[in-house]
Amino acid sequence: MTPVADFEGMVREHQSMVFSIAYHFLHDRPAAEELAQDVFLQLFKSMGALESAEHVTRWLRRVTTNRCIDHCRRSRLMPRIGLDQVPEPSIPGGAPDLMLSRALGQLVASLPANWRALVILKYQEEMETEEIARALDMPAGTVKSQLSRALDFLREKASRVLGETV
Amino acid sequence: MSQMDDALREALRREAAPEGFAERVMAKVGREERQATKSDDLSHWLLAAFRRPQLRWATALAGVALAIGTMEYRNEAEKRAEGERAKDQVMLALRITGGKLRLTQAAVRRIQYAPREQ
Amino acid sequence: MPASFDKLAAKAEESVDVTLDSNMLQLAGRFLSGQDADQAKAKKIVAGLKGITVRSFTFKQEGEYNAADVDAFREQLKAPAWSRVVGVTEKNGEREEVYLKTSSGSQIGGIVIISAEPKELTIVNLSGDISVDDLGELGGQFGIPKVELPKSKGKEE
Repeated sequence: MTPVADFEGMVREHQSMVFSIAYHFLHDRPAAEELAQDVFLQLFKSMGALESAEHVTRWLRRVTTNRCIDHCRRSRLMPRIGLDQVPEPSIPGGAPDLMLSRALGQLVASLPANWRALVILKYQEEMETEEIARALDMPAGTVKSQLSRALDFLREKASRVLGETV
Repeated sequence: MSQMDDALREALRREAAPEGFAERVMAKVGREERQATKSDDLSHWLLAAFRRPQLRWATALAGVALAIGTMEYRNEAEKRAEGERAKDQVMLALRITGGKLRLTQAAVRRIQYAPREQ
Repeated sequence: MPASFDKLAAKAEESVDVTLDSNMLQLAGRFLSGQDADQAKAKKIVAGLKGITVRSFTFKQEGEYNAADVDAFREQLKAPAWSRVVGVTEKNGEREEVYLKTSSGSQIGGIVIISAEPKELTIVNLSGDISVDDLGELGGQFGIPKVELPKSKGKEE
């Protein structure tokens, strides 16, 4: 297999992961796609340095997350706390879990950039604390405490807007 | 596993990339490769031309034209970046506005439907 | 926006500061995509706006800002063109206010939202032409419900 064919295979294998991290971070499909494309472009240029399939996955998660954080900072999208967006339920008394999930998706997109990254890596990518710490170059203790604060914040906001305890 | 954990996993489930995403990435990679090749060719041409005295002026002018072109490209790129930033800020502002309107409506409802004190 | 808000920014754990004049709004409008539903709606709203200002502060603890910080701003909203259409104070001290600046016909000339929560203060100011339909149409977009507005200009409460 030629390197380009390998690369295209990698794009297809990981496109959902990369796009999803960007989309859950930015909540903007066109921006998420553009960012995801740039990540893969960077991957193409860095292929020689990557040693294994696992390395590629770790690299993609780290680079995508860091690019998302940089995007927020460059756009002066200062960490946005307190943005309450809850879609009006189309069916009164509709499934509370569905409402909660939808609310949470939007609340996550309003977290400070670092908190957003932690929550997305933990819940979208199911990464452990140590893995997240390595990906974001942060001490594991910091990951744990910031994640805890982020979750407390989400819990409080979701409760206030939905009027229920989570 | 708490309700919150489940809800977050559901909310942050992976989404499919847009249709044609891989093709667009490959197209972008292809363009970059062609651009890189062109730059290499240009560098070689400039170096070779500078070694021949009669071509030095032409090369110098070509260098100036390239610099102006590069500056224009940079200005265009800066303008684009500025426009994207403005767009992001508009979306943020309108999301905040909507969110606060929502909060206000929820507060009004809580008061309207609160049990009356006897 | 009052100068005291800069002091609040210094105290806040996190803050948001968005200020867009008509030139920046026009520029943004060119970059808003017609393909994306939210951006298409934003493009339509932005077309009539002269300015957007959002200041939002999140504090680590309660009590880090006080009413006086906002009162100077509220004074400006006592001008005749402004009406307070919503004013809600809850038991936990949360206060939400919505002011509209009336313009001709069914046009709104501006909207101000003041959201004061124990650890968070947000002021939103949109100036320019916003039709009642557009404001109501924010409902369903950006995750916002349709907003019901009074049909006639009410008295300030």
